[in-house]
Amino acid sequence: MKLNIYKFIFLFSIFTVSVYAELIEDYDSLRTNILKGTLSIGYKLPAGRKKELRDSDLSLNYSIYNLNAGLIYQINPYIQIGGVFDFHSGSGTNTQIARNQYEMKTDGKSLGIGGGLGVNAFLFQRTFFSVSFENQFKVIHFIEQLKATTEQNISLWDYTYSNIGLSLTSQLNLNFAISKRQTVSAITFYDHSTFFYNDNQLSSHHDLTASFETPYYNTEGSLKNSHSGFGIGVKYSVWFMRRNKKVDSQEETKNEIPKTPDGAKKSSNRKAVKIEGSM
Amino acid sequence: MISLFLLSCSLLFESKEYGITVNYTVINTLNEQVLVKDNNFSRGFIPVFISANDTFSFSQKYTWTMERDRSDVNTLAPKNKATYHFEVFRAGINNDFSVLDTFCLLGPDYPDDSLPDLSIEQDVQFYDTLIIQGE
Repeated sequence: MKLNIYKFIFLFSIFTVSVYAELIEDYDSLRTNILKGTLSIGYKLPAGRKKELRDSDLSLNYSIYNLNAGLIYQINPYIQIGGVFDFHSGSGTNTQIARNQYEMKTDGKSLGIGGGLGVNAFLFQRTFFSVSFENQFKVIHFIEQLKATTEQNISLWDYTYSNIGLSLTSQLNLNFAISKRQTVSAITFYDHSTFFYNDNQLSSHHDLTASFETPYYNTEGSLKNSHSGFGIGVKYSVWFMRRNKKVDSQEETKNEIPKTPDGAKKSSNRKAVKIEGSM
Repeated sequence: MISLFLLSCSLLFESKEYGITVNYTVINTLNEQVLVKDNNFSRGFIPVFISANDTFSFSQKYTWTMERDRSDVNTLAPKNKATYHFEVFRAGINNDFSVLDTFCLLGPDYPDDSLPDLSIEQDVQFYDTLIIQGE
């Protein structure tokens, strides 16, 4: 059976959370931070980006810049969860051989904005270096302009479409702290988006509605983008809230030596009693 | 914790993949080259040039996943056509393929008599042919 990538990530997330739940059982997480705001700027290298068409994959390798903001709730020292807001943009030109027939040149521009849920699990954490596995599930609004021509400049495609879709981004981050609030991250990522595309051009020629009413498979198809590779990001974080140091305060109270009203230390009234007995 | 994980693992085996394959043949009977494009980009057909009096064939496999043991899974309704909607451009005098010549619909021929017992779980083959010809 073909393994569904979404189910795999879902299960991996459950497994990760389960393992960490065990690990942190004895950890005094109540002394750490609660809520933080993050703002990050990222750059993803122009490789591994493609549009998954039904007939073939269309390479759209160009650089992507993204701006990401989040409001993160820290569950424990290892798990963070929160809302994320993302904006990305990119453009570029690709050339590929289509159908072993002709050279197809593709000019693409994309613009996306979205928001959703982010889960960040720290696999390794030290003061200046950490490794984290991050997942973001977002609803995105995506605008893409796509022009394709042959080398003889015959127009093949000229589309600009705007659509809403679902996006899943999984990435492994190597985070280097450069200051108390700033980190630089090396990113390995996999991003997959599905857009629900409705081509209104069809209705102007024929009424094909009956042909496309299908509960099982959709001949209209949906646009799918995938992008994997490497990137770099700079993140700025600000903690808004901190939990009370309950354990520390209790310990301090316990260890404090009671004082008399005049400030002198009060000695213990207990006396050692020697108990003797006979068998 | 472990039981939750094992329960989640069982989800992997709850669904099953189904599919059909549709085989298309496009025949160009004209004495000039044509450019064939699907006007629905999301369907993912890369435009193809077909030389004069030449033929182009391609097949598409449509797969979908649904939960196992669904009672109506073995019936493929005639309306579930995997239909292409092609635009055909002649090369023209300037060889720029700028003039839309025909607008064609291509869908698979279904073996109607076998529909009630058609098992789409198996890889069922469908065929259709588009002939590009002059006025």
